[in-house]
Amino acid sequence: MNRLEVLAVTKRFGGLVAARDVSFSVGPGECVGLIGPNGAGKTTVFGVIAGEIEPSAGSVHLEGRPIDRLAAHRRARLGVARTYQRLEVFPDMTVLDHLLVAQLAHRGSTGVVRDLIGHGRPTATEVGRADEVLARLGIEDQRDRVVATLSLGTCRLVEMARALVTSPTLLLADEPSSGLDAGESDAMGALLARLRDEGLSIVLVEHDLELVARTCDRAVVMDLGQVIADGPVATVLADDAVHAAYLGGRR
Amino acid sequence: MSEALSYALPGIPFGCTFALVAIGLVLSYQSTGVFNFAFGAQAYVSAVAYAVMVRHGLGRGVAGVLAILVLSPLLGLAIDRLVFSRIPTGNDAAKTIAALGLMVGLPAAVTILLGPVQEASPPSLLFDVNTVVLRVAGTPVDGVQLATVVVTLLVVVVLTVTMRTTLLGLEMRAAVESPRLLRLQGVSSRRVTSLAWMVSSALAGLAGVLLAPRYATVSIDNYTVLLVAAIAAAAIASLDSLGVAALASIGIGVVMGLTTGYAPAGSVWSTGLLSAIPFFLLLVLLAVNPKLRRLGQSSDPMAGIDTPPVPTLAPERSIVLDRSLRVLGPLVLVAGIVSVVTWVPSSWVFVVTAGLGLSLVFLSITMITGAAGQVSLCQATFAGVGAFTAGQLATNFGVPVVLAAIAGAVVAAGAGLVAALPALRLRGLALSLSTLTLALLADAIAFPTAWIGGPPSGITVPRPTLGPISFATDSTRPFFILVLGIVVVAGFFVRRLLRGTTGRGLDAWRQSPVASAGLGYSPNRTKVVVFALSAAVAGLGGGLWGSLLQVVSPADFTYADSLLFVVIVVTVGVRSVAGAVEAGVGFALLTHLAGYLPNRFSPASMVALLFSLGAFAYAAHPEGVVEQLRRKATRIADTVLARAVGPTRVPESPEALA
Repeated sequence: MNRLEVLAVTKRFGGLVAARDVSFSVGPGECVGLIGPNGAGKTTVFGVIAGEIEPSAGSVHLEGRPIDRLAAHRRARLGVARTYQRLEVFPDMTVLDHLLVAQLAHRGSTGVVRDLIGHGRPTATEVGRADEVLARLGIEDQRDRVVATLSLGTCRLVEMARALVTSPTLLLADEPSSGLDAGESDAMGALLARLRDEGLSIVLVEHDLELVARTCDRAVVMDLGQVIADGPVATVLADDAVHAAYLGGRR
Repeated sequence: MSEALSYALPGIPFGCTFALVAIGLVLSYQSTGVFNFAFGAQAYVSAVAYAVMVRHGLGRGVAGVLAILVLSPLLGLAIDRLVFSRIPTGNDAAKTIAALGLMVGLPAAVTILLGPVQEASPPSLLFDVNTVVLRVAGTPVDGVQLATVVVTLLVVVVLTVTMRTTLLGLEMRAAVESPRLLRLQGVSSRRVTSLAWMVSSALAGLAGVLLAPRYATVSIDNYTVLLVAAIAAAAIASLDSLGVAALASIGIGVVMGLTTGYAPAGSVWSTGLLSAIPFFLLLVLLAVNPKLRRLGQSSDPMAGIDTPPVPTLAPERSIVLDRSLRVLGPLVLVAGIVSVVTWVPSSWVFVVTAGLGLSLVFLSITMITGAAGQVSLCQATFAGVGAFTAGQLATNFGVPVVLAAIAGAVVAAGAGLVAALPALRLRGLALSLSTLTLALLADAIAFPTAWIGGPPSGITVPRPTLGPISFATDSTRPFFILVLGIVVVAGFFVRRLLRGTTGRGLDAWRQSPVASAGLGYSPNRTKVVVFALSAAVAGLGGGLWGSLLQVVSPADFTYADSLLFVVIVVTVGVRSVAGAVEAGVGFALLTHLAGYLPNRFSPASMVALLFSLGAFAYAAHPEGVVEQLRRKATRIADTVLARAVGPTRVPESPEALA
């Protein structure tokens, strides 16, 4: 069974069709690159999967069950985590706080009662888990820094750490390498590959095609809101139509 | 038909009076990005200046020009340079709070300058108020009405043309969107914004001077009433079109004219409903107009470049200072409490107890504004709901007061849920406006109703008796201990909430709603929970406050109190439970102390002005000016100590902060 199924999703913004009849699927432990020129509708599709954007038509299934009626925060609790193209961090919080906030959100919905009886604060286990993830991303030395004072590249890593700390089953990574230098970008690619090998399903929106080629099994190419190719990365990148749309018709 | 016409026609000049204010709101929002709650106060300042000048024998024309074209623009310039130019583009909560500070501070400053006596109404600038200039369908139109209509038309045309077709208009709108981008185009965004403030302030001056003769005295209340009606008209125009704002004002005026004509005169419902028309309208508009819902959500593409203010970290202090403060702080606190219980004069015990009751209401602001970053303008209303419920239950149904106060908190929580419903889709400025509307509706309709707010003379909330202990003795001391205990317990639980999952969730939501939903926090749940809980705390505070005073009336819980409360708490420290308690007790003590001053110093206004100054600094010091001063003092003491003892330092425990 596929972990994620995007079924004939269409999204219209007024007269503009941002996504038309988009379908693809992601299996467990599979990394799918969602690529295409700017304005192709990739981030719209991400929004629909995450529950931030309501599709005009079509459906999204997680583990075989439709999740169309679930709001974004419900999907997050089912194991959908994401990072954002335009950075969405909490500027006044420390790096560690980001990871604790994420874990607290996954405790369930009786937060108020738990707070009142004095069990609302992060446990040692949760702090330990946060430290583990920070170490994995190599930002453990930034643990107690306030995020507003960090560089863009480090903020991307904080976002990624925040997404991973709750052990999601599906990761939606929206241009995780933008703003990173070459070394950091390589490290990000290696990390995504390892996560995939551990069974995490990943949808990766990325302009760095080398990164996509290194980390993804499959690529879905979008142009003008439609899927124009879907297959193994090597095959797709060699496709003429893809070249025409994405690389400007070279060859 | 002619009857309808005769009711509707007077509504037109009436609508024009707040059309000028509505246009001002739209203009200042368009050209400065600030929803100017202080517009009425600015109009009031120039009206007073005009009246004073005329009283001292200056010609009406000269006085008018000085007030409108010299004083008002200067005031606008000062407001821009001293207050708003220091607030970064994206910080909408800070803009709202600063505008509220001005709304409280400007009239206070006028009262301090001119003394507590209200200026008598000045003669009209253009036509005389007593001459009937013409008759439309038999309805007389007086000079002031005619002048208002003509000036409104002129202003709409001139400003619309300026904003839509000139380079200056374009620059003003650009300065609101992104001052940085405008600067990159080689335009001084500072100058453009200052100019915008001067223009909108001159418009406020014009409205103030023109409308002053309509009333018996020049009083801030009249301008606030105009402001409130104008907000609805500005909302119909989506804060976007000057012409629509003017037309909407006239429309509202006509509807109100018709209502006055046809409604049975005299009943609370007819007078209440009449003044509530604009509020109902505003509430509906906020719910259905998507443009309004997004109000105050800045989309400056360059916003990320402005470095956010350096977050306030726990100050480090030396071990010696840390230990001495840890011993001294509780010592002072215990000494204070023991003093109040033993030797402090009874009148002062009353003041401290009132402050404690107030601090519960302030605690509710800590929850909404401090943790969730939303400016709610109906917290005094929640306190009123609590107080009136307690009063009704205790007086009419014989319920013990303590139980009645708890029931009051529960009913207030229900009111909080109702308040959260329209607010579910709102945040930022739109949420502030929707809560303000609810407060106004409560003032106009709910609280004057006898079975809610009691008779006009007020409703009795008795002092409680707990078993054999009666708190109704002549001395307030036993009651002080009871209130102190309740504040400590409430503070304890609020602190747990704010430091637990709820507080962290609110913190996340305040800083990035998108990411907090992406992590699994429900935005609606967050809002409903925080509104209900904070309303409950405010309601409990209201009940205790009522029990202290023993009689409460609707005048004790008006929307104006809500505004003042926000300003006070923000000044003292809105991020901590201790801040709320300090704000409550501090405000009560200061007000009482100021009462010893001779009346000509306008003590109440001095206190209001003092706190309003702190609101201007919210952007730079979201932790509160008083808290900021304390940290500074700690640092100085630390430096002095470090010289004497040595540089051993420990970070202050995060516990001490929250």
